[in-house]
Amino acid sequence: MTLESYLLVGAALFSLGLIGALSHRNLIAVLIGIELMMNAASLNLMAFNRFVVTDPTTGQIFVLIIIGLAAAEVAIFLSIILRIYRAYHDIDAEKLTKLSG
Amino acid sequence: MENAILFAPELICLLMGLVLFFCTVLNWSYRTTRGIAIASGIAMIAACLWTLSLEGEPFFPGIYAIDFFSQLIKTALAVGFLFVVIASANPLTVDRNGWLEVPLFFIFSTLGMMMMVSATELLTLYVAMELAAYPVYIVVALHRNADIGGESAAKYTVQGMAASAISLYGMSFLFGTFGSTYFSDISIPHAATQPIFYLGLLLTLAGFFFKLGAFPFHFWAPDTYETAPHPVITFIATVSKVAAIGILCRLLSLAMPGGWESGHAQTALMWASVIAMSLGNLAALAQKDLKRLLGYSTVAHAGYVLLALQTFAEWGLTAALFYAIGYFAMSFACFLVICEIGRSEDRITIDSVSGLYKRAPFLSFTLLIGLFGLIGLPPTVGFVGKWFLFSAALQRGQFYLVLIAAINAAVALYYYLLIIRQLYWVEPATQNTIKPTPLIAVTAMATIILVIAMGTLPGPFWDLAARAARALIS
Repeated sequence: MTLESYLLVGAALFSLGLIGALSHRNLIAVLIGIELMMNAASLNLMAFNRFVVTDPTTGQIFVLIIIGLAAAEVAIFLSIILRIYRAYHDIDAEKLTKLSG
Repeated sequence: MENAILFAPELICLLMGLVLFFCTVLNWSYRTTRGIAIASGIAMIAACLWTLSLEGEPFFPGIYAIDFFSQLIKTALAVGFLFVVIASANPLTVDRNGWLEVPLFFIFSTLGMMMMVSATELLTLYVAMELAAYPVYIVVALHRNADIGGESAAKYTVQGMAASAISLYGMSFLFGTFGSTYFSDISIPHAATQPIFYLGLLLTLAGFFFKLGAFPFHFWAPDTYETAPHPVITFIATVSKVAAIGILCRLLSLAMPGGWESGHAQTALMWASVIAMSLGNLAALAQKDLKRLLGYSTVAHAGYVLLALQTFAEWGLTAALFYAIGYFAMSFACFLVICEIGRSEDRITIDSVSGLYKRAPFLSFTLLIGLFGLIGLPPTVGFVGKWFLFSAALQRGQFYLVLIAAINAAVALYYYLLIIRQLYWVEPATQNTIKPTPLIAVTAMATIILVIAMGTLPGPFWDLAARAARALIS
């Protein structure tokens, strides 16, 4: 496995995540898309860490912290989704149309 | 001990954040909590001024820099926090169960922004950026109507999280290019010619473009401005803009050794600037909601700031920093009035300010000064600030760019004057007067003085900004 193959997988994950976040109507699916994008960044960091960098701790620490922050992000977003569900009884992003313009 | 002094503003911010946390746990009255928040704002300003001319690195070498730039921005952030807490005297648009949490989340977000402008390492920057963002995600959702709050928060949060993920992806490329997360390694001139560096830098900028509300991450601005509770949007529109411009200055100064030759990044920023100001101003023309209009106007102003930043020159950085502080004052003048007149209203339309000069003469004068500043009329900071921004681009010979910006400023005149017409030439629908409390009147006065002083005597402020820009580049 070369650096390029890891980067390609990372780019594919990132694109899938971005498309998913932009096109899905269900807010949970949007959240999954964003998580994929963060995982793509983590994969990139680990690949660069393995092939380019001399000091291998930096990338690992970075990725560990990303994992922690991603969990916090999920908690916040799920709480917002709950609030939306209580108001709309639905988490379909298409139905959130009280604001427009 | 010396390190503790260097870190004093953040330490006070953190400690007072914990105190505010206990206020929410013990369920104290909102009055007391707000009083503590105001006291902590004053303490933070004092600590920032105390450390203003200090320099050093309180932690491991290379990850966290205290210099004149960071301390100047931190002072502005502390003043912003204090002003926003004062403005949220009656946050009736916030869910009653969430009142106590509002100052708490503001102070933690301010802490994140303070750490963001000092960060000189990618991981520190990322963690600080998220610390600044998460509390704001929550307070946007704290609107008293769960449907409005939830929808506005969903839009803001989804875009914020996506922007920060893109930013993170960009950081991974910066890490890969230089094999290090330290900014001191990233700014090596010879490596700055690689395309992957520009890819990384531009993607990294995404997260900060989101905070600034710049194209192509501006979609949240109108919706969130329109529906977020008034104190919350005051925070987003003032404090977080200062931090965003500050961190953009620091990131772009990394590409400065390449200077004008840094072609691709410059082209991308130039187009972002042109599209942001044109789109912001044209979309604002059609708005009837005052906060939504200001949301589009902030997109346009992000375009003006990018106009100076895309020059990759010291003059441009200075102009952007000067404008950051000026924009904070102008924007705060507008939102302070919105907080006061819209205490119990969810939406503020242009009609709600009609004839305000009869109901609240001083508040309507404050709004007038803020709008004059946003238009760019002398003797306000809006005029001088725009002059500096445009002259930064002119010094690079970008005449057509400045022409587009000038046309945009003229277009913007229309919708700002429309509000001023409602303020002074239309009869009020209701006669009930609004009397600001002394504290709010003093704050409004201070804001007006800042807007006028920076406009008539820009010299000292320009020197401060220039000193900060020099601290960044050296």
